[in-house]
Amino acid sequence: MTPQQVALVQESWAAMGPQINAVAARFYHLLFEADPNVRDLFSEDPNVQADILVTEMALIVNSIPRFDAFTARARELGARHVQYGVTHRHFEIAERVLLQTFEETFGPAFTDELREAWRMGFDLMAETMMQGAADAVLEGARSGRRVDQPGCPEQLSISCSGRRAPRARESDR
Amino acid sequence: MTQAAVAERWPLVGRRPELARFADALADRECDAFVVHGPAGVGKSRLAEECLRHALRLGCPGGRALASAEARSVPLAAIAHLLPPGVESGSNGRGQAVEPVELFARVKRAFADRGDGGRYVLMVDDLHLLDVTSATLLRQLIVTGTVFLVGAVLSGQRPATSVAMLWRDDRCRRVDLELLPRDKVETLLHQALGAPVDGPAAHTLWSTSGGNVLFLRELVLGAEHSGALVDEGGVWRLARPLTSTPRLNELVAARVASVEESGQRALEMLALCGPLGVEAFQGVVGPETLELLEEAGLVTVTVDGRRSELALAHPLHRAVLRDRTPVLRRRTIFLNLVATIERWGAHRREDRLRIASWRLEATGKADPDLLAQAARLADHAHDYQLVVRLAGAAQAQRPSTETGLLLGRALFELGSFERADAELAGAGALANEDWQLVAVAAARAANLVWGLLRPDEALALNQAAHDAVTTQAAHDELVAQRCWILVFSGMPAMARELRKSTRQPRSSRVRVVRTLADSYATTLAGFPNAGLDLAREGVEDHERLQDQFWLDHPASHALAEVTALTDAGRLAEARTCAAEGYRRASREQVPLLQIRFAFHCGRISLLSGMARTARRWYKEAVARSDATGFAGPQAMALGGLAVSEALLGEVGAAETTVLAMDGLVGFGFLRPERELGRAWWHVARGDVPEARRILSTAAGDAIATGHVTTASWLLHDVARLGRPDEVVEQLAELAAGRDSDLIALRARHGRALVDRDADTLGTIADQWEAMGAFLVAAEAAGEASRAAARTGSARRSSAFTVRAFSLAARCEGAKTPGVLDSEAIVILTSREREVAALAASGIASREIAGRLFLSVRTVNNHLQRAYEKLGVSSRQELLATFERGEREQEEAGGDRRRW
Repeated sequence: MTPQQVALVQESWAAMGPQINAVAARFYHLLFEADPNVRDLFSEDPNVQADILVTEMALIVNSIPRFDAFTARARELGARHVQYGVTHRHFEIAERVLLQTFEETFGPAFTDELREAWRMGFDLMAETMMQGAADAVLEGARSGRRVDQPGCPEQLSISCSGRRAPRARESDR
Repeated sequence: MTQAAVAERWPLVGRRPELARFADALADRECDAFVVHGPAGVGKSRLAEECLRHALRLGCPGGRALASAEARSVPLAAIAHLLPPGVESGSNGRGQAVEPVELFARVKRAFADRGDGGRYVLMVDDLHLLDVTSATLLRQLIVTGTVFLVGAVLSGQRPATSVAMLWRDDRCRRVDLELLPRDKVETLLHQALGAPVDGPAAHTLWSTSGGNVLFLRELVLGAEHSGALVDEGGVWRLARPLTSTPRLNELVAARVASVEESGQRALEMLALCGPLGVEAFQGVVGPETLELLEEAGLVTVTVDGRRSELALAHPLHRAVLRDRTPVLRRRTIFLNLVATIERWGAHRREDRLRIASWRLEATGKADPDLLAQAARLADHAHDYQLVVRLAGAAQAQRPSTETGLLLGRALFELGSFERADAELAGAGALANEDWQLVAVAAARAANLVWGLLRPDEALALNQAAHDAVTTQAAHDELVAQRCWILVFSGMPAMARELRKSTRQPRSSRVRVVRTLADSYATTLAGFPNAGLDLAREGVEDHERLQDQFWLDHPASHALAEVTALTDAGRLAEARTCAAEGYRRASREQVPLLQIRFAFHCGRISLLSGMARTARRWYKEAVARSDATGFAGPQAMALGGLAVSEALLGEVGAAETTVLAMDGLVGFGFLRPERELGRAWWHVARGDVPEARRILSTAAGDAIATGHVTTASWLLHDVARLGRPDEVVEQLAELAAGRDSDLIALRARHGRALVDRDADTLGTIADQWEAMGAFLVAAEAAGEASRAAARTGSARRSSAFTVRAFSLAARCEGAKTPGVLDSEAIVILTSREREVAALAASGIASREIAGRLFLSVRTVNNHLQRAYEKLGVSSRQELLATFERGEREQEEAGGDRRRW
């Protein structure tokens, strides 16, 4: 994101003001419409879910200029989402639906420039979340499994998971 | 961010779908292998590595092997470290050779032991280079379900048969890795550098790397090391052009060395001469070699009708190949190509132009007419360096007005103002037709006004040209130019006078020049809506115009439009228009326009009260003018930068900025507005009376020169800084009869500050907010709060205070004397807050009492006090206040509760 895009995302986020919860609810409505299976990923009632989204988004949007805080938050969020079974495909759907929701919300004020800013913002968030998710695929890592390596095998061991994963984990499918 | 931090492993971006496919493949017992294909540097090894990491995290055993050209001739070299002791040497440890069957059985056992019942995940980088013995062994391990293979294969390389047989197509998932698209490159840069990268730097890094991650990484590390890529206030930008690094040269050289000799010649031709038709390679390389080059991703082929054209696939290859081709070989290549193309007939117009520039490269001479034509094409493409080379060569052989104009204008765009003036003077001496005299006068005027900062000379030259021309159209155009010079040298009032005294021009070309100057002069005189109409008329006329030669860039009208929208108080529209203009200028690489649009983006943000955004844009404008030598626009931007720094409390920075501004020669455009910087610096250092004195003096200058909107800005700031009584009459006079909401609102605000009526001030705050000017809106609300307090209306006063805070929270940390300071913050006790929060969520007092173990009466008392402090009178209002507060608290970074 360019600094200008960061500013645009933050400004337009602030501009939604009190209608933000309605926007979030609309987002979920469109999301479930786009992919009914997604509904199973969310157990909460839609209003609670909208609340959670607004809170998380506010924290993420506001932390963009402080990159370390942003990264930590997005990675943690990604680690949580992977446990719900969220995959890269869901991010693609969510991006499309988010932009659609904003288009409805802002109308003509949702200029190409603003769309691009949100798209880049979403991409940065999604990539960071997915990195967080990848590092958290399995928790309770056991360190020390030897990784065979050309050169000096003894020195190169990285930590990896303890539990042996079942061959066909649901989330891998 | 330190060099070390940047140098760490880069995050994996844009490869999640591929990684998900790997996870699927690994989980599928019907699948034995996952092979990543792609050109060099695209990130194959990295993806394969991530796949291995993923498998390890899932608990699979795994390891790496690296095939290489050097190890290819040594049997089992690539996987030696994975084999049980003794096997790799081909002996059983007792000096006897190991039988193949026994060898396989032992290796299989060893892997099965490691695999612990599951498949062992083996990642082999550069799989196409694997030696035959390793491949044979590996194949048996894969077929028996002992090993799952993850491989990386360079596309365009044909692996040996033994390697190709490693996997069965139906039991292998293949991924073709593409270069990263632009948005992913930007995300990767943002993550790797830990901060946003400004638009031009991101564009340069993307286009230079072509989405090749390896190159991108090398470019970034090299640029950071050499100081070309710098972190300025949390934003990465390019202070200097990118240069190649030794490592990049090695990478490219290694890549080029992998193709046969004749292929390398073809690459050199493409690097030196740009895209070429297939026929150009006749007698140099055969079609099979060209095919291989395409397959290896080194060249791209586009087919246009019957013509096939080849180009280098990568911009970096071009630079490196050009540099390493010896001078004599270059000459030979150019001359051979000229001969080949001439033999083929050189039918197309661009063929002749290219022949001219190749001849120039080889011999230093070419047909001046062709050079002039080529220069004109380069000018159209805004490639000013090339224009200087081509037009310079043409002028050296046979000087002409037209080529001199091209050369002078290109030099101006590149910041070589003195040379530009000399070339243009030379072009003027050769001019004998009216249109030539007019064109030279325009180009010299632009150079003298924007570059050399000598507007008086521009006016004198304009007069001289006026005396020399004979036709009415030429006279009219020169008068229009004179208006333009006056506007940009800080004399818009004189421009308006001159305009009144002359007739409406008939020629649409002259109208285009004239409306541009008119639009500015009208806007600056306090009629921005009329100025806006003129600017839009100018755009339309300009686009309809056939003969656009020697005119300003069409985007200049967009600048006039932005100025008008801003001064009309239509900030949202202005912002969109300015940002679009900035994008266009960046795309077309016109430095002066980039600077000017960035300046206007800053100015709009400043009027909105968004201090940090304003500071970023102004810094952008300052940095760009620094890089290109435009000192005039730099002075404009420094004035705004000082204001934004002062608003953010950065007294030292503001002082440095003001000093830098004073060090630059006077530049006329919006000159009085620059004094805002000096004034607000004094405010930041606590000397408000001095600030007011500066503002008043500057306002006098602004009125005298015809900068009405600027005068209203300066005087309004005097009112904001505590002396509305001194300026209220003047503000009203400025607003009378003008068509700007911004000027009118400033006058009403000044009046309300004198009258101190809470309701009126509240309305003014609403109107500022509606305009998008949050800082002054916050000040008005704060003043309304004080006015209400004076009349003893505590609750209303509190409500205005809360409102003032909510507005100030949108100003990115800007502080002014008029913004309420933190001591005035409404503070609820924790009990009051608790009760109020519950009440706001709709819970009845009785229930709150039950939950908190309080009496209903106590709950109501707490609630009452909270109402008073927040200035609300119902639960709905309470809820609204709470929601706003929470939102703003988050916006402010969530680090402080406001009540």
